[in-house]
Amino acid sequence: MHGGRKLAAKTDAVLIGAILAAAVCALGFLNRQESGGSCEILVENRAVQTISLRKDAMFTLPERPGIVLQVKDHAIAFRESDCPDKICVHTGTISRPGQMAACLPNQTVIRIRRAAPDNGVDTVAG
Amino acid sequence: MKMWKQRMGFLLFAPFLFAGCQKQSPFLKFQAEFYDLFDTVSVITGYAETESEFNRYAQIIYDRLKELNRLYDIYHDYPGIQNVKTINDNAGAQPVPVPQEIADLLRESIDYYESSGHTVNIALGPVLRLWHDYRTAGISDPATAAAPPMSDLARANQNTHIENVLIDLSAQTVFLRDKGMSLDVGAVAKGYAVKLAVADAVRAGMTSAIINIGGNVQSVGKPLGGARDQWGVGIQDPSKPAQGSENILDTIYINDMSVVTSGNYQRFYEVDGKIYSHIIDPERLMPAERYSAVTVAHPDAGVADMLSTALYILPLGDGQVLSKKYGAEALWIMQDGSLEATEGYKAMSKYFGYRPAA
Repeated sequence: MHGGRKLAAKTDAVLIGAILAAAVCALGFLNRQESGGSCEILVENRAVQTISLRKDAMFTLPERPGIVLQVKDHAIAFRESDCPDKICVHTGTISRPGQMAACLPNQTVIRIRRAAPDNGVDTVAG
Repeated sequence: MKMWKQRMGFLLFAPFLFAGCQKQSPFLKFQAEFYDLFDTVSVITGYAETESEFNRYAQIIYDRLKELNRLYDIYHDYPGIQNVKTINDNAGAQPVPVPQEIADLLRESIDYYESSGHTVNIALGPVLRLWHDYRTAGISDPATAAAPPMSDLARANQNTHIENVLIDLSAQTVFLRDKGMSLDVGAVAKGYAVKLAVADAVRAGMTSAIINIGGNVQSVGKPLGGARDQWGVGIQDPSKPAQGSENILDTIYINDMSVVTSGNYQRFYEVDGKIYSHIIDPERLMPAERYSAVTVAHPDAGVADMLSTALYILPLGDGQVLSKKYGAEALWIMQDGSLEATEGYKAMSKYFGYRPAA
């Protein structure tokens, strides 16, 4: 029984690895499709700012002076934070639509937005 | 897409935003809507580097429109404000000192009366009021909907002489010489207000936006998202209900241009199965019914608004002459669904084969 379990664990590991590899490929593909975009910044569950990822920048939030965010190469990251656990900084950079990073002690979330498709119509006169 | 709401004066102002487009651009697309001005839905769409920059322009436009909405109002009084209703209330009694924005609009509108072939008359108040009351009653109780009797309309029409609107430019006062008359600036005020509000935002730095106040569209610059160099303005199909993108009959591509549509499909009521639009032909004192909609494109939002009413009332030939005189482009959607358009309109129309450069 003991050996069987080990075997299962090994198979699982291979399976998980395969899924992860597929996921990474898929994400890479998605990333190419939806490059750039913007990042929404939420403080206390309220959107306080949206920042373009197409322009490199290093900045702090008026609402959270202890946090430093950095935009570089179409990606964004918590660079510094005055929080005790630094989980946000350890999360690293995010760049794909839907991806999030959070600094819970500061109640601050950054989230990559999805690009709206352009259907050629900006407004309707009628 | 996360939506959030922010208090703006008395109303809900709900900006929501999209990421930009395919090409590399530091600009983001934002949108703000409000519902409490000019009895209509207002949408501001624009590109800016930050949301706060966009919100600054949207606030400037909103504040200005709100002020002008009060000035051009004929139904409500506002504390400390002399508006068009104040002028009407003092008809036959005394001149009313008015702000520049009212004097300018009225002066332009008096010129429009002649140049529009007597179709746009801001002194038509008594006739429009009669139609307004019958329309309101007819909408709230369709079973008893009726048109005003022609005798009533003819009597009301005795007090619609625009020569009795006296504007004293040096004293900046307006006096209605005839006690029975009243002004209604509904055919011209929205476009004029859009023009002033957009000019304020442009002075403050706005470079890329398209403003839509209930079908009065004014574009500024080009969309900075990178997908196209021109704004796409959808023209609603009058035969289809108003929601969703499948009701768009045509799209025209513009820069620094205003687009206004007059139609019978938004404000109207039915009497014995017949549709009565809110646009009244001053000659017949009856609702105009030649077309289901007319769209006008002109750089000046005030002119475009006035022309959309004029062309909606005039026969096609006269309308073509008038649009040419103003250098305006136009689309006439006939009651049977067929289309007539100026050459300049066709040159920017998706329906007629134009495609914007990417």
